[in-house]
Amino acid sequence: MLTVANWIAYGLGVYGLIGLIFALWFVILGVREAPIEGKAVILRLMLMPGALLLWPLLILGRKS
Amino acid sequence: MSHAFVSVQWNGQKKAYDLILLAAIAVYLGTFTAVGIAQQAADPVVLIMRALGTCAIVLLHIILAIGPLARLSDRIKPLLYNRRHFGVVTALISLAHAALALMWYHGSGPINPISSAIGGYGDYVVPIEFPFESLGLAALLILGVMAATSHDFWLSRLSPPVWKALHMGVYAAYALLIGHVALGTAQFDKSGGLLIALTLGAVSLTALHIGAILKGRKADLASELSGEWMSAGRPDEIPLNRAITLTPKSGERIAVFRYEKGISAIVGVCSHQNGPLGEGCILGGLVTCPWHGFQFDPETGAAPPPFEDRVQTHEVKLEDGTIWVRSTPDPLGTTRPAVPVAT
Repeated sequence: MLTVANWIAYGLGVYGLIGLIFALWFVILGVREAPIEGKAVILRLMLMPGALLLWPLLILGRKS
Repeated sequence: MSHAFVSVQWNGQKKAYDLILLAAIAVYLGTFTAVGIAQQAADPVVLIMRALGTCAIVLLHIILAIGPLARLSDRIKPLLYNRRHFGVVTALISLAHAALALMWYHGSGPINPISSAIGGYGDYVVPIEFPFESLGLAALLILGVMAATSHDFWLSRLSPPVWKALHMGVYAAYALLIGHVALGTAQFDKSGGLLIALTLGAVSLTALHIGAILKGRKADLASELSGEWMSAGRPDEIPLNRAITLTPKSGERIAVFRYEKGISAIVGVCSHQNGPLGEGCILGGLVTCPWHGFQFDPETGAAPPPFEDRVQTHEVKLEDGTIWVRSTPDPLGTTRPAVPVAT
């Protein structure tokens, strides 16, 4: 059981780490909606958790 | 709305709503902890943890009750306007509860806290040893995704159907939390008080949802009409600045408003999150959605500038004192001047 739990925990950790890197890119450069361009620092920070959690969806969305 | 995204579209009502919410939470957490300390019920850290956990459960019950209650009574509708802030606060309180629990119960062992909580010391087959924290973590993940995507940016980015599907996850989170608390209670709280409160909460929520569904179906049956032109009754049967809802055999519901200019009809489904426009009202000459306050001109279906959202209009005529509404909506962007009526 512990092995499975460890794999899940490490999986979550890797997912979160990739998500963090993607989220940083997303809120600084990736967001293309005009109103987000420029400053709006608070709004960009608010978008970070969503990008971190849903990075696979956002990547797939970019391809389609 | 679609023209520009800002961090939070504050207004007086939202500020008051949030202040009352935060004050109520502070009072609850303070009272729970103070009473526990006075009774020497447990370590203060454990008391704060329990206060946060029970607070999150109570908030989740309120969130889930607001929707059906607003359908059953117009007086609850103002609570719908800011329900997203309610959800974000609930997720943050749940996160604080989880962080404290992980540190307190799993932070000093030889294995990492997440592995420990998921099942390092438990047994999924034996109920009394079930690692109930895993259910709490799963619920927290769902609530976290919902809170993180609560901004309108995500609604636009993910599309309304995907966004809505994600946010229906609140019911899965609720079920997981019920399991989390029930199994945790079975292991640590022999009084059973929490379990009884939880059961009452679940039964009440179920009854409220069933009541709201039945009321909606009754209204649909009463207004379900066929034919190209549908009667909406006499003008004086519609309260001023309010609407009645017509349900055609096919297509979306229609909201028929009576206001200062006369009678107008638009599609009864908000373009934002499919809110029931027919349950909204006219504010400043504009149809206002009861869910999030999105507004539309009743004659054009367009949101006021600089917003760009639109809903379709319906043709309206008045014959022998009866309002008639064409069941087929106009093409998007069609203007239908209000049909004047004597006030």
